[in-house]
Parts: sequence; C-alpha cells; structure tokens
Amino acid sequence: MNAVLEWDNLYFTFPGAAAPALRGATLRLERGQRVALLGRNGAGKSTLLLQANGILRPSSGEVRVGGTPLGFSRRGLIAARRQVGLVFQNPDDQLFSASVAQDISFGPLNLGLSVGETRQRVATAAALCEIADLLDRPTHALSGGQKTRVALAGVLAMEPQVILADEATAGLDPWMRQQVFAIFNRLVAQGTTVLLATHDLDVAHHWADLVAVMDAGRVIVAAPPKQVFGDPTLRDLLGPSSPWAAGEVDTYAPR
Amino acid sequence: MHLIDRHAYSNRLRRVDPAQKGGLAVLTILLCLLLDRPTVGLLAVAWMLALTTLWAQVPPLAFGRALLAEGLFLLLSVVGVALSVSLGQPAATAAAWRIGPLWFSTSSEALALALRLLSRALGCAAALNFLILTTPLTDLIELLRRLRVPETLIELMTIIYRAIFVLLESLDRMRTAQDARLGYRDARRAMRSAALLGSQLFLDAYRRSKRLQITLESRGLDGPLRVIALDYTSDRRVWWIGAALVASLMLAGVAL
Repeated sequence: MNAVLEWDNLYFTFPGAAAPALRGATLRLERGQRVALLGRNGAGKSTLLLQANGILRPSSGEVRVGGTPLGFSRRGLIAARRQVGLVFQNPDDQLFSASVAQDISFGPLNLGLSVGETRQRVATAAALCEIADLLDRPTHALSGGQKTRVALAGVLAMEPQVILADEATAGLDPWMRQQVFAIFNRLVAQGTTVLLATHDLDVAHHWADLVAVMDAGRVIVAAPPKQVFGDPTLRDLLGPSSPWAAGEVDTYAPR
Repeated sequence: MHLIDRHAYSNRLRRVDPAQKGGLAVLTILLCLLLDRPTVGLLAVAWMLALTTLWAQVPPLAFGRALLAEGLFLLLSVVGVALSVSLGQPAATAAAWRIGPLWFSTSSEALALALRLLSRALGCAAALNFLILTTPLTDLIELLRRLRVPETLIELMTIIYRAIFVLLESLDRMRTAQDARLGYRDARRAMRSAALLGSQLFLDAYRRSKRLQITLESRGLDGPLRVIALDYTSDRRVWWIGAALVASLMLAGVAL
C-alpha cells in the first residue's frame, strides 16, 4: 500500500523554546484510513499536523505527501496544501469572510481553478457538509456547529487526499458531533484519509481504524484500537475513560 | 451596528444588485449637493424613507433612529452657522440676545444658510441610510471590488468586518468573566477592569491574527485574498424609481 502522508523522523523546536516539540516523530497514513491521534496536552499533536502542509519546517526529518518529499518552494507548498487539508478547532480562526460562499471559495481559487469550477466545488462541498442553505447567510449569524461545518467545507472544497482535523469536534454537542462524523465517514468512503487529533478516547476506540498515540514529541504507538486499548500501560498515559470500562456503545461506527 | 446589520441581511432588497441600490443613493446625494435647496433635501429624506420602509420593508423605526442620530450631530454643527457671537451689539439682525458681555444674534440670511446646510446634509445622510439598511457590508465590498477599488483596501475591509464580530464575542466573554468576579462593582474597579479588558482584547486580536494567517496559508494563501463574486438579481423597477426620483428632485430644485 502506498502511504498518502508520511512523517519521517521529524525533529522540531519552536523558536525560543527550551525543549523540542517533536523528537523523532514518525507516522504513516494510508488511503481511506480513519485515524485518531491521541496524546496529552503538549505531546506535540498540533505541531505534527502543522508540519504536514509546510506551515512549520522540521529541523531534521522529512514529510512525504503522496510519496513525494515536501518541498518548501512556492510550488512545493501549493502542492502540499492541495493534498493535505487542515481543519482547526476554532472555526472563527479560519472563517475570514462574512459571506459563507465567498469563504468556501477561497481555497479552490488559490488552487488556480476557474470561477466556474470553483462554484461547482463550493456547491459540492456545501452539499457534503449539509450547509447549502447557509451559503448566503452572514458568517457571524451562524451557530458553533454550523461554523464548524462551514470551516470543514472550506477545506473540503480543495478536495484534499488527507484531512487533518485538530480537535475539530471538541465543544460540539453529540448531535453536531455525529453530523461531523457522518461527513468524515462519507469522505473516507470516497477514499480520503481522515485524521482527527482528539482527547475523546471513545472516538478513537469506536471510529478509528488506526490509533496513534503521541508522547513527548514522538509517536509511541500506531496500531488498531483493539491493540491500543488492550495495552494497560497506555491507560496510565491517556487517562481513565470508557474504552477501558465495560459496556460499550457503538456511537461512532461508520455507516 | 447589530441593528443595521440585521436589517441589511433580512430586508426585501437583499438580493437586488448593490450597484442598483448604490446608484440610487449616489444619484440622490449628487442631486442634493448640486441643487442645494432645502426642499430638495427634505424631499430626498421623504423618498429614502419611502424606499427603505415601503419597498425594502425595513421598519420605519430603524430608519428613524439612524437619521435622528445623524440629525442631532448635524443640528449641533449648524448652530454655529445660525448664531453669531460678538462683544458689541450687532447691527441688522433678525434677533439678538445678551448674555453677560456677549451678544448672540442671528439674521435671516444666517438662518436660511443653516437650513440649507441642514437639509442638504440630511438628504445625503438619508440616502446613505437607505443604502446601509438594505445592503449588507459583504455586498458593498463586492460593489467596491467591481468598481476596481485597490485589492489591499478590499482585503482590509473583508477581514476587519469579520473581525468586528469575532472580537465583539471575545469582548463579551471577557467582560462576563470579569463581571462574575465582581470586576465592575464600583466605579474604580470598573475603570481598572475596563483597562485590563482593553489590553487583553488587543492581545487576543494579535493572537487571532496569527492563527488566521496559519489557516489562510493552509488553504493555499498565495497573494491576494481571492473569492468568487456573489449573485444578485437585477430589479427593473429600479430604473423607473430612479427616473421618478431624479425628476421630482429636479422639479423641486428648479421650481420651488
């Protein structure tokens, strides 16, 4: 199987920081995978994601997107951002336009698509995220869950191979969260890889095919959930939560 | 701000091309300035009130409140034109009052001039009220983009308009958090809390701008902020309304 995205032995220190944020992080994602990235606060999850499309540049190691090493030239960055889409926790950080339709059109136009193609992409992404009725509403009149889906549509309109979502479902009510997972599952069915960085161990247990656990700047495990949650040593790292308890409810199963 | 914004997004002319609405407003402003007569200004106010309330279905109160606020400012500024102040008793005046050593006087010319200024400015203000109450800022920005206003200005307007609402939310949250810890229980503490809030909001805005930069770059930011144009409908009645508006204002300017 070809990896769609690989982090290969990455080292990175934030300017002015005493300790490195990444110390030899390695992870490999395949096509159509559902991935949960776990790890305590400060383990390096967000830093790892920001390496994937060249926002941050590793001091050593390599990121490969679709088998090609990520280049930091203008063309290299555009290629990486075309294939790797990042969704952040707070949609207000991403939505820059008061017009929902115009906000979603930003990414596709940056890829150099024509206005006609862009309109098509906006409509497709809006349908996928079930926000077609919000396209001409002002951004500031949307609810939190609606904003999350608009932000997601803005990334999906670029049709990336990999979606990296940093805590994108945190703070949403169970209904909204289920809607976001429905979108993720649709994407996975189309062959897109979806990675969700999360603290929600339930999600990792029931939704993911691959669970990666980060600690102190390294990926210490990347394995199927059964294996990860069968390992009692990880319980101490990740904290108490229901996957270790009896009586599981299959809320996040793909449908 | 919220009031104007709400009407701008929900009025009946929301879908009408901003160029048409902007055209009507600009025509009115031009005629008010060129014809420069009290009747023209007042007639323009009546026209704009009618268009905003009857055509766009914006409640008259919203239009009235905006115009009242503007009118008060204008009134204050034309007081200086209507009244003159002198140390000695002025000659040839319509009326004069003495307060201490000062004489306040007014003449019929000064009053006429003040009325002309006031009505002209009110007419222009009413035209702008019509525009902002029927056209959301996103559409006005779109109109400016079509008029080839420099890209940088358009980007600034886009981001600032969005930031206003994001920062208002931040402000609200911070204020509630301070209030919950008795930050506003007396005047001294309120001053201190407000000062802290101001500096925190500045930091918040700065951090947000950095995060926005990251998210925009992630979506392939490469030069100007490009977005698709919005769709509008063109309303044929605008031409008739425009014609009637120009004819009546001209008539008022020439005949009366």
